[in-house]
Amino acid sequence: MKSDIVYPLNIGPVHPAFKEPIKFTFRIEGEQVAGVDIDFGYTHRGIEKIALERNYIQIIYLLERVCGICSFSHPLAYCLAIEDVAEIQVPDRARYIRTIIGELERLHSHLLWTGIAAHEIGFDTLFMYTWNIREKVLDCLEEFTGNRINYGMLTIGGVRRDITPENSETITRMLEYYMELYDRASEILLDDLTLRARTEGIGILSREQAEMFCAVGPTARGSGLLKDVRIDYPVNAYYDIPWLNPISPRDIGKEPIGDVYDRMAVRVLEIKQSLNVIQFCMENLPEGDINSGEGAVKIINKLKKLEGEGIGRYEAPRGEVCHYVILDNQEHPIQLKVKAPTYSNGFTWIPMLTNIEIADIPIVIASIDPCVACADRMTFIRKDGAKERYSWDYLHQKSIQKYKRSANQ
Amino acid sequence: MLGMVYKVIEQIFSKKSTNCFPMKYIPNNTTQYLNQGIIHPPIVVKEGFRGRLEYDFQSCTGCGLCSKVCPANAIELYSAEINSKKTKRVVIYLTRCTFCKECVDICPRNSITITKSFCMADYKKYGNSLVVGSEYRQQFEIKDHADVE
Amino acid sequence: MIMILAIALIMTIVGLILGLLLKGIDRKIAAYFQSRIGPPLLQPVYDIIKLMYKQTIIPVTAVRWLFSSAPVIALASSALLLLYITIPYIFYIFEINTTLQGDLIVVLYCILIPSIAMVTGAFSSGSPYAAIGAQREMVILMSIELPIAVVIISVAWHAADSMADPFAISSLFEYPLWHNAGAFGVLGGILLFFAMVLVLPAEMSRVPFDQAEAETELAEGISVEYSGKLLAFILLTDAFKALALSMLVVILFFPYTLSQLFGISFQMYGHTLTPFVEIVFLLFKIIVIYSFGITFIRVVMARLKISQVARFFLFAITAISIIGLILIMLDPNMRII
Repeated sequence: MKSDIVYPLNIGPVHPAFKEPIKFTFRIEGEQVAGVDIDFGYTHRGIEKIALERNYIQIIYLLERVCGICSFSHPLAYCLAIEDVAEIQVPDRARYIRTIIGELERLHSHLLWTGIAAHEIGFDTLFMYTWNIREKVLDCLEEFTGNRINYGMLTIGGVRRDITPENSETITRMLEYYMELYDRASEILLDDLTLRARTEGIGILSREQAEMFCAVGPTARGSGLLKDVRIDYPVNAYYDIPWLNPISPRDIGKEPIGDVYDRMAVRVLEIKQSLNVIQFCMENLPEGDINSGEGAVKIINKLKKLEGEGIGRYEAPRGEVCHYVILDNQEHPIQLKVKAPTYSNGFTWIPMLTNIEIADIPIVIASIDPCVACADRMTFIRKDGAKERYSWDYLHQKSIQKYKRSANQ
Repeated sequence: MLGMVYKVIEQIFSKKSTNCFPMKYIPNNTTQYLNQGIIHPPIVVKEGFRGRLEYDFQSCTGCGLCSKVCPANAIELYSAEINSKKTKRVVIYLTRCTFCKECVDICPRNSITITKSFCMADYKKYGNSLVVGSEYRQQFEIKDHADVE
Repeated sequence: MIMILAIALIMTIVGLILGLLLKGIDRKIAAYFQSRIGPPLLQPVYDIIKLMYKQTIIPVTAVRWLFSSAPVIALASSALLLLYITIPYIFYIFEINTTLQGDLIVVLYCILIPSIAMVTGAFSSGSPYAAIGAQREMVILMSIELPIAVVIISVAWHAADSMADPFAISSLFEYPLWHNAGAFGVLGGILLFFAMVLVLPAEMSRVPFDQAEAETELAEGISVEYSGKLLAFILLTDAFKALALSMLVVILFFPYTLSQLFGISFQMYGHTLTPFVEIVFLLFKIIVIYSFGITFIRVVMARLKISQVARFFLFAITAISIIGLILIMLDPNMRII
């Protein structure tokens, strides 16, 4: 249904389709989308700035709050970065426990995403179903980390709580529950008639575009890019898993074209992959310490005397998380940079959102599993409400100035 | 293709997943709700759940380590006078607490312990039920002007 | 005349309560399908009572008189639709002889009026979401118009050989669609029933055909700007329509009473209770139709796109209903000539 009249349609900053504030301005022709303008900056929290005023242990809990769902990936990337600077060796058992929690998080994140995607296209029964089965993994996490999300499990140089025999029994039972459920659930998720009618062939991100926009995580893998930080730059126990491969829609015999269905298929397949990884880790869980045994104060005192920069990368459920820290003989880092997956994936919205119908907007936006608050880096508040656009050259000049100044000090 | 059809027909006969609110009406203050009329027993919390903090005033030495590691700055140190000796003690603001258990782990005298209680709703943000140790503070705090600065 | 007015008044009030109750049952059954407990049965009634207390806000961009009169027109016309379908049946159950017969063609028009009123209100609200919702509602209305007309014509066609007026509602009770139907007639009737059941959710704006109110796309679409009493009127319109449309399916396809089916009658202390039992049976039929035609379909499907809906109704459902019509015409037992 095309017409000659082009009119604007604002979706956001607050809209039932979004869980977080973000603004899209569409140009609509009839029911077709002709163009889109994306406006971030409604939920900037200044976490990077707050982190510079906290000590190294406090930052872990602060970074858990960067993203509610990736509440293990962000502090893990930070801990990896600090361990990189301080050259701390993580005990084997801690590496495996980190892997298990990370995969449990991936499991519940993907189930949550499936529910949200189903809700966006009005399939509330599927939404209720996936969130219902997600309770099992959350119960499991609650039992051995103490919380459903924001686990508080990490510390620099290891983890804080061990997996007791009762916990491992719970995890085994949970694995059995999901293994039994998986075939049927994946049939509902991947073969349902109306679900396919709504997800196939829309929001297409070609392989070239995915490469160009540096897409990460399931968004990139849905377009056929075999890109997974767990395999490319393995941390934790991923070294030890020989069969781990990046998921692609080819695994269910479908040539990836990068539509919403492909991204969904990747996530559904990753649920199975996570289950296998957890099973592997539970079977091969080594004995030993779970951290260095030093208290928080000792760790802070040790890091106080250090200088240098470190980088930590980890594959969060939504894509690559990258944390960069600079230490300078102080009780707190002098620089912390968080790169959340939506930071890369947000740009892929532009090719995805052109030439679709209005009805596809929510599902296409949700298909990259956006975490808007993670990606918000700056916000302008002016009395007159006017907006300025800063060019690349201007920002580049500004950053050179800033670092020259700090170098001279 | 029709997986959902079978699933919903199965679900209509299976046990429902809803957890009912334990009471018929919402009480004013859930910290004491367990004494009042309960119609649905609440869900049992899991082993290892981190809930409301408890503070042992007697064994605390006032070292202040807990307030140093607290990520939310929820633990406040104050000057107290106990047995005519000047020392420090803490109060914990549960409205700010993130229940990370860092203070419990670091405390050298195990003065702070964690319980499984999760009922922490109240009308007053800084009411006595939500500031752990506030009753001791009223009793022992000394207003030292040099300290306030 | 006065008796009809009194009956109309009573039936409006009873229909209001029953319609809201039907929505409550719908929500409860949907919750059970989704493995939830669901809201209390009277939740729609509580919603209405709450909305009646709330402030009604009229946006500055709206055409004030049109915006506030549209829900009232929708409510009145949906009440009219309910009465128009139900009164002949009530008379038939109570065995009252009357000249009031009801006309299927009028029903066809009456179904449209509440939706048209809602579309007018949405366009006059000045909200872009409401405008898109209203456009979609118009597309859906136009696509389902032909299937409904074909169903009604086929039902009238088979009654044409009788002495009664084929388009009168009351003649449906004497000559139901399945009345001396052959194999073709039964098959055609099933196809027509299938088409009509799929038209129901589109007429009621329910998933998978709720594009006009799509929550995640348009934030309730055509009713996005309504609040307070006007929103309560819209919800009441919905309740009336829910009852009236399931009633329409019942009288088109299953007008049988218990006494017709089993030849039983109920007596107590010398008075006949048969009509009241028949009304309970009628409500049972309505609930069954509603929970299969609307509740079940809405829990097992995702919302379709408007282009898919238009294609679905204009081609698939229209074709099915026309095949049904042809089959009924081919049935030798139903031949008029």
